[in-house]
Amino acid sequence: MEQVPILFRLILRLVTDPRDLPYLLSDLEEDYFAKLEADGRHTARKWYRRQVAGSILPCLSRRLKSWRKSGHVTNPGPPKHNGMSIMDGLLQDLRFAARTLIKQPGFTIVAIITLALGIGANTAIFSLVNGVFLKGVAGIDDPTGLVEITRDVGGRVFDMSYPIISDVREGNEVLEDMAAFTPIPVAIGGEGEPTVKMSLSVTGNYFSVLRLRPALGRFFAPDESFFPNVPSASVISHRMWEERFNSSPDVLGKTIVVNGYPTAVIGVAPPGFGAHVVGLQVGVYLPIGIPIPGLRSAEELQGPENGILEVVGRLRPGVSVTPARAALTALADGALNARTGSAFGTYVMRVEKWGPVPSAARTAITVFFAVLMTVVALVLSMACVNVANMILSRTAERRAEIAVRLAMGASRRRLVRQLLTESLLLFTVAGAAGVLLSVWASNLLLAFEPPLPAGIDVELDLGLDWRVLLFSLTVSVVTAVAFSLAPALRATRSDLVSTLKDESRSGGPVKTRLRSVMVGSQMAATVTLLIVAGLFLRTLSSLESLDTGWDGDNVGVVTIDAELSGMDRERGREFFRELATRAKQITGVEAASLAAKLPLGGRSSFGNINVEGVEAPQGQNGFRAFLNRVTPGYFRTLNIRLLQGRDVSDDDTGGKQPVAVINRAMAQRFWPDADPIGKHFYTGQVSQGRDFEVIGVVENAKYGRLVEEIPNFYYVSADQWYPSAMSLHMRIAPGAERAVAAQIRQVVRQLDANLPVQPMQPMNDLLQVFFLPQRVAAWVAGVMGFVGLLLGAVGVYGVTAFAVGQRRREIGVRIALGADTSNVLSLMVRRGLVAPMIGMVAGLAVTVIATRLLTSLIPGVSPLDPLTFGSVIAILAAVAVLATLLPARKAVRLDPVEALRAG
Amino acid sequence: MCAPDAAKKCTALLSSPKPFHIPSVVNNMAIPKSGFLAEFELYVMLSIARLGSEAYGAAIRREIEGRTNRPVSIGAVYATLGRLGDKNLLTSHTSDPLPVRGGRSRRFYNLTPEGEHALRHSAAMLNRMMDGLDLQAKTG
Repeated sequence: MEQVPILFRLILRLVTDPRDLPYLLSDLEEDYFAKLEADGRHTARKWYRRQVAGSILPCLSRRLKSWRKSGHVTNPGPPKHNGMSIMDGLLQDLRFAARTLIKQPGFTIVAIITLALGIGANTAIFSLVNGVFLKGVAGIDDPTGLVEITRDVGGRVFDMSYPIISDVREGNEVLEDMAAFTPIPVAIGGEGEPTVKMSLSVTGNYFSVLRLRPALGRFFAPDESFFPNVPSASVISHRMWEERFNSSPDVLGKTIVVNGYPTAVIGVAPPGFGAHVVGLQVGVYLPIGIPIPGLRSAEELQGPENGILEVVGRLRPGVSVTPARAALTALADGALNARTGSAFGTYVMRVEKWGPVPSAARTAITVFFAVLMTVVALVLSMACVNVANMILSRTAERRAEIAVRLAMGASRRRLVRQLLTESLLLFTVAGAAGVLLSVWASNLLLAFEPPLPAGIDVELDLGLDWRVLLFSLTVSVVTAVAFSLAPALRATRSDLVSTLKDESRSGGPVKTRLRSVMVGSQMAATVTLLIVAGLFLRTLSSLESLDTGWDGDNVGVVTIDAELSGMDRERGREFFRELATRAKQITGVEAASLAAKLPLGGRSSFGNINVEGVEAPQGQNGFRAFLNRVTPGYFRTLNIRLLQGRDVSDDDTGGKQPVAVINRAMAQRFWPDADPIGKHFYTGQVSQGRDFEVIGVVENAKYGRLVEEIPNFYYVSADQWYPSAMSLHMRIAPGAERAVAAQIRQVVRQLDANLPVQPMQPMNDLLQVFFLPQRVAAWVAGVMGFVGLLLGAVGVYGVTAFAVGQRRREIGVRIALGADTSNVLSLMVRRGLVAPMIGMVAGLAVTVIATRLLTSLIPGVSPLDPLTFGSVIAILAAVAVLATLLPARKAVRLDPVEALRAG
Repeated sequence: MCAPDAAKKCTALLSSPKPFHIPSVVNNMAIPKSGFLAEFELYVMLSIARLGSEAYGAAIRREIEGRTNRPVSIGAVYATLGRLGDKNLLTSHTSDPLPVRGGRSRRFYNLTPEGEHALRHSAAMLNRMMDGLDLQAKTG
């Protein structure tokens, strides 16, 4: 027989007045079975759930009212099972708990603050995880069917080429559809100052694959805009619609100017949607192949080997990832063979479930979040241990009260429930405070705005939602039960007779095993927390004092993309030459030059290089090498030492022999015994690829990452290999930064009024982005470590103080009988220190294993860094000794007579 | 939908021509201190009047839902029935178990004389408030 939804019936049982309950349930069933016959199971169950949901509030408020009216007994006392439902008991317990907590404001406030810190920190980090991983991307319908499709070359991920994408799209039977896209920053003009925004070049079906609905107008029709059949139209993001068009409905048909090229707006994307990658803000969506300078050109799109596009697809229902991958690989391989005659070998596809975070970054971000979550979880557990300790002390004080109740016939279960309700109330209130705290902390996290390159704008939604609330509620309830069950069970286990006689007077030993375990575990958690925090701080300081090989102090950087105003190669070259000349003339500028890449700003390569007479490593077709394209004066601007030969000069122009300045590592690798000046190397095979003549050798530097093996690196003339986007580096006299920043802006405007200019930024600020994960982790771990240290100290102090308090009589007797105070003191300290010390050793053991997992996040610092371990151990030992010494000193100062009397 | 035997009573209640004086309201202790019936209370009372001897929880819920065309939860009905019972406007009695599957007994509700009075009073107040108003024209 069909059942009513049991869970929902249970909810009704909890909230309904027991006198009404049987009638209400049978009435509900009557309608439910009628609905079941008429409309089927799904509708009937849905109806039932709605009924229950709609009944909760009226039933509860009715019960609260009648309960208040009837006037209830404040003392839970012996259980009354006749007619008293679970709910009545719970309400009674809650009221009693609230009164007990209010009666002891000191305890309550301290406990709530402690817990709120722990729960708040957890909620803040969880809302970060929620914002990045769980909330998903607004507007996308049915994301479970989506997959990321990339090319897999020897385990590394590559983008795909347009011809292969269109072949695979047409031929495959595993996907409903697939769309290609690529994000490129563009200058958006029209009225007012041009701004740089991210654009997304998409195939016409991008929006339909994601199943988005336009907020206004329409999207590109899936059939009408596939290269080469491309409309001159654009879709703008909701945010851009708000910012630039004040949400005006007349935007449709208006013209926006992208990199100098006008396009008509045909639609607005749904609110909150940037791209299908979480947080990425996009200004405008353009059809792939639209002839806008700076976007992918028709020429680039036609090459079957140009991996320039990313792909998102939607699987057909019932098709899973693995067969899809096999089918797509076969197709792509065939397509490539047909188009190129198999020049590149097997074309392996990688198909992965779509997620808000691209699969390439998923592991790194997950590890990072896991570290943060562990850190805050440790803090929470310490806060909980402290509060559990406080509860334990409090229940110890209430032993007489509890014993009286037991003697009067209250069941143990009833009392435990009462005590648990008190903790639940305490933890839930603290949870609510913690959520408020986390809102504040999330805003603080968002304020960590890394200086990202122009046009890249990431905005995460860290707002509260049901997941965050559910998380903090669960955390509160679980910790409440976990940390107060043991104290509650202990308190109610009391031996009636001895307690009533007042055991403390009998001088028997007070059991403190539970407390010792708590203090020990707390110490263990503090050790782990502080060492993790210490390791991150060490990483940060070692990174900042690292010798990078270049000097970024007093260097200002302005990045300019000549394609954003539609300049071609010739005009661009002219523009950059003029810009460098004029920049040098600005007063306050000591040296200036242009380079395609910032140091650490990613590495570019023309491929492997070869040198005549030097054998390539086994199985490889050359040596890995990276390059930067620079204008004359680059080494002087960044204080990179020229060891031999000369810098690139204005004479090294397009038509002449290509020249290169190489780093010391490269010189030593290829010409260890000879003078490298005048020697040649080739990209590709000897005398087949590009031929470079070595004209100079410079000191090694950090190029790609702060911690790397020094690679082969060479600098070529930007005039010989033109990059459309370059960064102007200027060494500026101290104090002249502002004037220079204003003037350089002026200069660029004079040279080309349509070119968007980002404000000049100090080079060192730009490089901060590379420290970001370490900075955030060090900051979180540092703050949490400090909180943890405080909590740990308070915990040890509390336990020792309590133990001393319990033993006042004993101490009194000892001193009265002539014991030396120093003896008593050392006795107390020794006893007090056992648990923290055991905890510390256990914590160290765990930490040694745990920090290994951090290796990738703490470059340059050993996970067993002796300085960090040593200082943490020293600090904690000092704290533990101090926390036991203080109460112990208080104990020996007691007047024995008073101690004996007070008992 | 009035049950046949209740139809008369129902009409009588609603169209009572008894003149109404404010002082009589104040002095009449049968009307609760809060004075008026709340909207939902009025619906429940009216349904009971309409259903006559067939007024039990599920029937009342269906009656209101059917006539107001808005979803009504059983919990709200029971909470209101309880409240009206507290105000002494209703009585209830339990039937013998039904000869159907599950065979539970039902609890039927009747208006007390005070309840009938309160209903009449509320209906009259409503009439008087509406008197002379042409809502059709206003809202249309």
